[in-house]
Amino acid sequence: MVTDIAEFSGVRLGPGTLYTALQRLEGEGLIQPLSSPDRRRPYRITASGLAVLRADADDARRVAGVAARRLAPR
Amino acid sequence: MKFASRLVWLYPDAWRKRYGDEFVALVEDIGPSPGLVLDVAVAAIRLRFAGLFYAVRRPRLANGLNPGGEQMIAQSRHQIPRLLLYAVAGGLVGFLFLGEFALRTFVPLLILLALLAVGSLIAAVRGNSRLSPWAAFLVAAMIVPLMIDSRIVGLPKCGDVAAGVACFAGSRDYQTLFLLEVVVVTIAAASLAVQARRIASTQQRT
Repeated sequence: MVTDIAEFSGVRLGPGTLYTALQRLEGEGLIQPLSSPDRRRPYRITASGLAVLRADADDARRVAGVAARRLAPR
Repeated sequence: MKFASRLVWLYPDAWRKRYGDEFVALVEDIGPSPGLVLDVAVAAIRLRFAGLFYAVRRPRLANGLNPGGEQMIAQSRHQIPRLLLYAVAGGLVGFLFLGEFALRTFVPLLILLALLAVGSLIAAVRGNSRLSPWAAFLVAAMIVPLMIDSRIVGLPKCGDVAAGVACFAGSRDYQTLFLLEVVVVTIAAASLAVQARRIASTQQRT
């Protein structure tokens, strides 16, 4: 998970930061832990997590679009 | 690895039960570094301070299982500080407006407060934390009115006594007001009791 986040965002999260975020997301019902025989527990995004992610992505896309239009040479 | 096992002890017991194994596995994968120690120490300290106020609930696994039966997560609900804040606000309103400016003598206002108390009780039973803190506001707001009216309610009312006998309570019906105040504070106190029980039961699981 740390590697994946580092690859797409360029930020390498420490374990403390990562688990603070995981705990919050799980508490808000946005992700769910899956059972695992390994100590490394996988998580999956929930339906409400997908809805929040879609909304956030839409917001980011809209802001990026406005920024791109305003930065475009006139 | 001893390093990872020692680091996880910075976290509260309930957190270790829930996340300990996977956290240790991650720390072992990453390996020790000053930055990692600082990151974990800051996160653990924040969690310990947050744990003083946060309620806790059990998570569910995606496949419907409960991980280990003992694994819990902190819920981001600031219950106790919110209740204290509402209580302080209620105390001020009770002292300044319901007592000093005698707004408690308006029966419709007391009926509205009673309805708010009922709403708060229902919210507390349902675990809705948006409306339930109003119980703390109402209990605190009723202290001054109850103190004032409890001293008046038993006194003879003008019109009920023979001419020439002192009627200290004037002609206003304080019994209805006092009754409404008792109703408000009783329902609000019941709501607070439900919330206190809920907070206590969730914190016991930590």
